[in-house]
Amino acid sequence: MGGKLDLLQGTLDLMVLQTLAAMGPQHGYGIARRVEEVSGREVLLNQGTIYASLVRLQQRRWIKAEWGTSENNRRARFYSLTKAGRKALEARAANWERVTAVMARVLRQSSEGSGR
Amino acid sequence: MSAWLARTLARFAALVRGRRLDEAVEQDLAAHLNLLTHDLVARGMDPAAARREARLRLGNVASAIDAHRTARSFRWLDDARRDVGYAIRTLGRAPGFTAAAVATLALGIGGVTLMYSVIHHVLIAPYPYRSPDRIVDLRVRTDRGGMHWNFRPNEFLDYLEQSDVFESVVGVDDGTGHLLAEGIAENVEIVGATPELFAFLGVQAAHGRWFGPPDVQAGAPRVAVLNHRTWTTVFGSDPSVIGRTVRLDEDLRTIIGIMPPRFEWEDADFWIPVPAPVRTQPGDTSAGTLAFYGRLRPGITVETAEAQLTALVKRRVTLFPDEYRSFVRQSKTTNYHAEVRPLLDRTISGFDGVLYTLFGAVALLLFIACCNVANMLLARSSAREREMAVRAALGAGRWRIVRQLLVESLVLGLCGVAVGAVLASLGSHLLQDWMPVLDVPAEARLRLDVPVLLFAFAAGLLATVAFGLYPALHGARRDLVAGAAASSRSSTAGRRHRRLRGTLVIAEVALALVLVGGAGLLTRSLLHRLDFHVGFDYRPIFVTEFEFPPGTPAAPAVLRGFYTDLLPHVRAIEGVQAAAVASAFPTYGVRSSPITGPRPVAGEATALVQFTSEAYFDTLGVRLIAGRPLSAADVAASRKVAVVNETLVRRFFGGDSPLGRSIHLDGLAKSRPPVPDPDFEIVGVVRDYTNSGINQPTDPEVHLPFSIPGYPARYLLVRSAFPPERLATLVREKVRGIRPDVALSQPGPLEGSGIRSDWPVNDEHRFPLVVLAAFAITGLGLVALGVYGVIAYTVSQQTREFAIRLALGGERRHVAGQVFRTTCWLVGAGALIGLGACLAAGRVLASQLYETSPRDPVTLAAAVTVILVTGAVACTIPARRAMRVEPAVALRHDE
Repeated sequence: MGGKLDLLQGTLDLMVLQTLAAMGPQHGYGIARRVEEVSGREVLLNQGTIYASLVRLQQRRWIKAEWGTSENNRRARFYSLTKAGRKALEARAANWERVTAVMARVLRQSSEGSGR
Repeated sequence: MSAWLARTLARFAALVRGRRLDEAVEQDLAAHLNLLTHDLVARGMDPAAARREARLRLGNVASAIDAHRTARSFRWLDDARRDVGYAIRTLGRAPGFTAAAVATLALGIGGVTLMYSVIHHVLIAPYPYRSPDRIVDLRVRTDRGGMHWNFRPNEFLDYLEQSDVFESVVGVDDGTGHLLAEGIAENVEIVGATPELFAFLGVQAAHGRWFGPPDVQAGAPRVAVLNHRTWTTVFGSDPSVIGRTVRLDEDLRTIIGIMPPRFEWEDADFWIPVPAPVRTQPGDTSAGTLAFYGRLRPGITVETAEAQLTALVKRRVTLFPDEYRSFVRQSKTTNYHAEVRPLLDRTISGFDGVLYTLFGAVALLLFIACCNVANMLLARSSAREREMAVRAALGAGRWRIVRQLLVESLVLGLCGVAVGAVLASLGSHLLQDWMPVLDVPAEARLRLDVPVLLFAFAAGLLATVAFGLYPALHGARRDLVAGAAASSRSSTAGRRHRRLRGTLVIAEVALALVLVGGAGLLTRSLLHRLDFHVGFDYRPIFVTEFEFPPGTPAAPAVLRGFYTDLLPHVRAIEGVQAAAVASAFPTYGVRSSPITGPRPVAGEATALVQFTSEAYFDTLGVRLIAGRPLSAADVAASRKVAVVNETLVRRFFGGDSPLGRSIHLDGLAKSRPPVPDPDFEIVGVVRDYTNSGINQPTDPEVHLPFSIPGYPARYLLVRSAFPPERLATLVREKVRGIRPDVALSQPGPLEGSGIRSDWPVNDEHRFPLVVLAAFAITGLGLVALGVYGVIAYTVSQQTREFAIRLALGGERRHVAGQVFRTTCWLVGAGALIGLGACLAAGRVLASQLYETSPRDPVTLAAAVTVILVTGAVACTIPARRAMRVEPAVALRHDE
């Protein structure tokens, strides 16, 4: 498969939530870097996109932002998961797993069908 | 709070916090870039290369911010806010244009809003009552014009109990009466109603309480409810009036409540409770009568109710023929039917036609305003061509540009609505006093309320589409190259543009001609109406009658004494030129008598007889031809002298001088009280004035001193410069000093008094004319502006051409001639089309015209002239500018 993955609506949001859950408070760059590393650079066409996702999550009150100091001693906004965000992540992750499992089954069955 | 709700609220909040959120994301992106570069350098990349790589990975900053905006807010709303902000700034930079456009629109929108307000509050919803559209009254009619509406209890109850079309009913007994309170004597309208009246109408008292069934029980104290208007004018809005006892006719009654403003049921000053009807023996006529008002059940039509009640009436007529004898001479063929009349139909008599005509006229005005603004926008769009081309070149989509221009139009439109609403509000105050009283329900109040404002808003939106859409589409169609070159004066687009603007002007001229023509026809019609003579200037004359309290009947002697006392006081009022009393006043003499002169005449020999005080002719302003007028001494001594009119002299004396001769008025010998030996010596001759109806030949008339008991002198006539209301107050004060219990009855101007329909001109005729004339003048102003705009624009586009022509030896007057020709062509074409429209629209006006054809050639020619002159005037400034073109300057300036 060539190029970056086409992300489904909300997928990036879920990735961001999961990243924050795994790593604790992070600035935007940290989140973007982590998503790239974990996904093997298959997502994130450009890193700027992450901020649209961050504002959406903030507006839902799933994450919050605070000023902090970065590794190289610069002021940067650090994002962290809220209680509601943790709950939302659990629910969405469970849902995502069910969807992928079902999709996987469905896709496998249809390819077997065409193989006959 | 759910995540969805939180986000929705946050998105709305983001609309107003846009700038701060932009800063936040910019900070984030800057930090991001810095950290990324830092990382890359740490991994061993050269700093310059690292910065470049970081930019690449972060992506386009602008599009990241854009994505942020999309995510955090409602994109279209945010854009709309941005567009509106931009539109306001753009319009703010051209204050002259903006003011002109807003003023033009405000005139149009204000005008339609005002007329809509009139239609809404007069025709659609004039009444403050509960479900007023279902309130009806009931009358019994015969096919020969007999009519009967005051029902005895049995009849009233039969209609109520034997039909099933009414939800509830109320009985009403109205009449005028005499109010007497401390320091107050007034002739008032007192309406008696069965106790359920206020519940029936569903209106609460503003102060105090209603009356109800307990107030009509035997032994209950007598009460009355006061009209708000009367409370204000008669009682000076004194709140302590509740609980006060006043005398209404013979009864002392306690005021228990004041109704809210606009509650004018049956035009009463006081509502008093009367007992509900109770069945009596058939044929018993001792019980009083009641008029029948009912509220139809929902879904019952007037026709259904009429059919049912007509059947009832027919049955009753056969059962109780005696009850119907009083109002009609019965025969076997007399056909009875019930008439059920909705509330609104009682007052509006053809006035709805007038109002809809005016609404049509003002809609034309709005169209003219829209044409004008569209024209201005088109002119502006060519000036803004460069801006549009640059924006298109920078990637603004066509829709985006259209939207921006539409938003600008919308902002203009809404400003027009706002200013127009203010204009309409001012106008409605003026019109409220101007509306013909008899055609409009007394409850109707003009004001800007929610429905009217919604209408104004809708009109504004519609106007925006009308004037804004084409210029917007037109503005967006410019192609890049032509636009950037910005030389529309040579392009076909420029020509198309000019042609379009020309079309708009033609339309404007045509519409304005319809308005001017309409106003002209109404003016001519009014001139025809005004073309009558009563023989004197009636305008400064005020007339009033007096009413004495019931129970103290005014004997003729008392009445004469009262007038004799009052007259000097009235004459003493500063500003009063003359005052007199009389037994009748123009335009009708009321009493007549057979007359015997010095020689026999052919045919009927009668003369009108007037009993007057001295100064009667001074008051009317009628000149004496010979002899002297009645003097104070004549009146004081009750001398048997007479002043006769010219007609009488011609008829009974031929060419002889009547002075010193005697006439015998036989009728006075039989008058009550009789005048013994009714022979009168003629002491003066007065010029004829109307005494038997306007535009009718004058009858012979005799004026006698009112101190001679014959017919009672009932009227006080005053000539002054005061408005009638003011004079009424002044006279009332004087009366109070003489007889505090005497009230003025129907005070008002001579014009329109007495038999109102006799006066050929009244508010009913002036109202549409004044309103339409105001619209027409406004329309003309707008047309002048439109013509000026287009011609000025054309001249500015042709400056170069003119310069070349002048440089090549062309004459300046030829240049000016060309400007005039262009104007003539536009205005002429418009006038031609408008003339056709006028002829078509005349039919609408025909019903309101008096002795005037809707195709009256003189009027139409005048209207066309007015339009042509307006056009000519409007083009003089641009024409002069064209003449003054300096070739050298213009040609150099052009590039």
